Amino acid sequence: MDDLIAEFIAETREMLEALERALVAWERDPSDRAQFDQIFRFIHTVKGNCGFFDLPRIQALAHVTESALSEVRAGRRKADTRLVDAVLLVIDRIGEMIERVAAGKEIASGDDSELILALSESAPSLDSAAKDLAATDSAASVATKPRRQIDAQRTMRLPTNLVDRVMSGVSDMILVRNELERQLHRSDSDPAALASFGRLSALLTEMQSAMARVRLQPIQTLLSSYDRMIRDLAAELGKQVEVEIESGQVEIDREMIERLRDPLMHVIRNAIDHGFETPEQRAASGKPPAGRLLLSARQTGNEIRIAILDDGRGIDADLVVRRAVERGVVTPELAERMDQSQRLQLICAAGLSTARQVTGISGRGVGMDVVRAAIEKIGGKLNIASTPGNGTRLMFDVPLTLSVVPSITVEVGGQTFAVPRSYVREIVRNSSEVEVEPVGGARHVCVRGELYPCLGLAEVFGIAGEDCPDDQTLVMVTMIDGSVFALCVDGIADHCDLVIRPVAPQIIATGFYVGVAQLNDGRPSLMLDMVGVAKAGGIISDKSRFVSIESTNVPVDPASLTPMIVFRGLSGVRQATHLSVVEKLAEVPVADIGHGSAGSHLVFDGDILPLHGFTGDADTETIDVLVIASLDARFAYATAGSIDICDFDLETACSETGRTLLLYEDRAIELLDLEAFRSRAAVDARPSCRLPSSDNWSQEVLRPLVEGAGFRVVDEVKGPIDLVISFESGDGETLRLEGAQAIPSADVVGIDRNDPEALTSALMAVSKRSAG
Amino acid sequence: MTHDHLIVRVAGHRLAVAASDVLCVIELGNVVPVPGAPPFVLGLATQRSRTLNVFDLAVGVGLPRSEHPLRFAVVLDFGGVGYAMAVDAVESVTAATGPVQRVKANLSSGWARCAAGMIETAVGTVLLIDLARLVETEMLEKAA
Repeated sequence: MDDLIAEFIAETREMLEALERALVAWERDPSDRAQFDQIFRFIHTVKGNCGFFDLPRIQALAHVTESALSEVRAGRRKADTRLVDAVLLVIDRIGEMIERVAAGKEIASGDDSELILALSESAPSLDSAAKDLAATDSAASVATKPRRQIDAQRTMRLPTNLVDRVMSGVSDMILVRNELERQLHRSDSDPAALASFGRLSALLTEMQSAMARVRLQPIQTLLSSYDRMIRDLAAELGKQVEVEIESGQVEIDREMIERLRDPLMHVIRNAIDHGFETPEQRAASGKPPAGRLLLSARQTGNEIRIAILDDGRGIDADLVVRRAVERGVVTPELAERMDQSQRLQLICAAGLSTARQVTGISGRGVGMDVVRAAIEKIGGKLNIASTPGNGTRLMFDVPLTLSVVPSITVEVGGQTFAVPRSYVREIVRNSSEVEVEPVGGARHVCVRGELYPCLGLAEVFGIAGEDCPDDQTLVMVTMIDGSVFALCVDGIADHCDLVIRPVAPQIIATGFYVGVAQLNDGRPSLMLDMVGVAKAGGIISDKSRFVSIESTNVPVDPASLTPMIVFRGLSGVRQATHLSVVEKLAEVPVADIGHGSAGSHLVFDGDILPLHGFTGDADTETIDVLVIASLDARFAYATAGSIDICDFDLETACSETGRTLLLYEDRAIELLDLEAFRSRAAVDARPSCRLPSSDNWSQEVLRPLVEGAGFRVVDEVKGPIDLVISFESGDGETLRLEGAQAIPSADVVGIDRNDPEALTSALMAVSKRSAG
Repeated sequence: MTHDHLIVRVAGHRLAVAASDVLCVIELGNVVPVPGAPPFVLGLATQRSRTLNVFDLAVGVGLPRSEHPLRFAVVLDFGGVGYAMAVDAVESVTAATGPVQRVKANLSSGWARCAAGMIETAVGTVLLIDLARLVETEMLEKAA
């Protein structure tokens, strides 16, 4: 008896599920005889079964419903909204009672009279003629309409643990097969035995792929399951919604369906609640009164794209951005630079809701962030497109299955780890050519002229791996936000599809892994959480999602090209500096270099200059130096010769390691940090000079003359000044040179500002006097 | 109705585990280490096509990690994930001769969180360990 009851419950549940779709379709088109028949059959079956199992309450409900439906069937009653609502309520009530039976509880002796009343015709005498007419109409249309074929594929229900057992049995067989294969190939086996083994192996592979399909379910079942919710929600909100489902034959992992259920429900609720206008509003903007909601699923490669499209009022991107700025999600500057899709993505930022009013349905500010997190958790992506007034399109790009992940296995320090292939852009062999000098403590590699941060997996894990770059392999990893980094491993083991199984939460808590797979030889291999690994390696931070926006939208301005001089430092490292700060390139005798406690210095052209970049031992008699004068600092920088002068786009410089790197002939070179030297630079020995004003003439014409005469121009008003240049009596035409400090009684007056020669000679005279 | 118990030895201590919790006892083969995991996690092992998370029971109850490799493990299933609790030795399967008694002494926190009581067995009074609770508390601590 228990078995029979269980069978009855399972059958009723299945029919209930199928029925909801039929009911909504029937309501839309009451003349659809196929749907009506299905409903009628269900009620009839339930009634019969309940009599058998002695469930009088359900039986009574089913009986009344059947009678009402018989009236419709006989053409004596019209299937109106009231009847459909009542039938839906009855079906809900039956569902509840069935669940009570399933839970082993008694059905309480409740009162269903209000339902029974709802099913009866409230005003039977009213416009019966019209009803008859409608009934005749529908009968006529039934006759002309071809009967829709109800899908009659035979199905079977199985306990999940039995399916799991069969699946793991197949996996076990595959493992033994692989082991056997290795043994057979080691020994000189009989060719006939090998051929038999080959057949067995092929059969097993076939069986494995068939088993994989056991987990798949048409996505149609998921998309159709929202029909009822959409109908109820639209009715509650006084909106009209037409649902269209396009899913073809797409099948998807059962577990994936469960993971998608809530996020999809959320966006559908959002579309109905916020997306669609009321019929009046729609009519006012020239749209048909009923909103159109399209749910579609398409398979492309090993991805499924699920689109939720509505023709409602769309998302006001400006409003979203304003909210985001108000709540401090983004800075106004960043918001300025975002493109439309990035702006729309902001609706997924935590705690942001643009709903004008909080309704019972949605708009509490928890929502799209949860949806995006759920989609990303299953390795998917969420795309949003919207045109204000024309509707919104949300797209979920999710992998076909959760359990089988196309992967690449990598080896580090004798251990094997798996990387999802979706992350891998390419595999590059590392070498001392590819890996640039580690600057600022961080490894970088240069692949085809692009510079990427490099992360050694062995270092992240604290295990010993290959040390020599020539024995290493780089896995170029593309993160979800589009940024790329190189994951350095000892080698690539294999390309394979791996069945990913859960691991202990204690292992997940490390943040490095998402699950475990078994390799062909039976060894376990952890699948890496690329986001966690990148975070641990300092490649990305939690804010990377918005940081990446900063780097993408910068227009390349030809004016931003800066001339640079490229040279080789004494340590052999190539470096660059701004050409504009280089005063001279000179060859100086090593004998002229002196060493003090604070560093080296150089006697050059009668001046003592601090010398940087000099290691103290040179095996040549002379070395090349760059004499660099930058603002108020002047120093020399030791080099092993200059290489080139060329233009660089400083916008492409990479400065994430604390130093600025430039790309030169496919190699990274470091930009000389002038700031660092400036602070260390000895006090400039040149006499100081203050200009009359900061106008263009002073800066463009006078300043070079003053500097050319050996002065350094200081802007600050305070501090010791050796020479003050000012306009005489404020006429702005004649200049006055006033000596002070080191150059007493050097006043020169009445120089015409338009006579550069007189100006130069006067400056030179003052300069000479100061030096002497 | 008698409850069978598995008597295991961990770092010199004798412990009892309810046999109904245990799927099987395995000899640990190759345990693949998990970089970055807490000391409680020894690594991963496989039993046919099933991957087992190998935990050091000694560390779980607050004892230092054993110096020599552990040879045996008690396998259990918790939340669909397989766990292998590595122990020094599995001594016997025995029935309790009396009901589970409350632990009278004050246990240190490591013991206290997984001790289910004391039982009298043929080999003497033994502390009964709830392995599921041990896995669960470790999990909660990680989540916190």
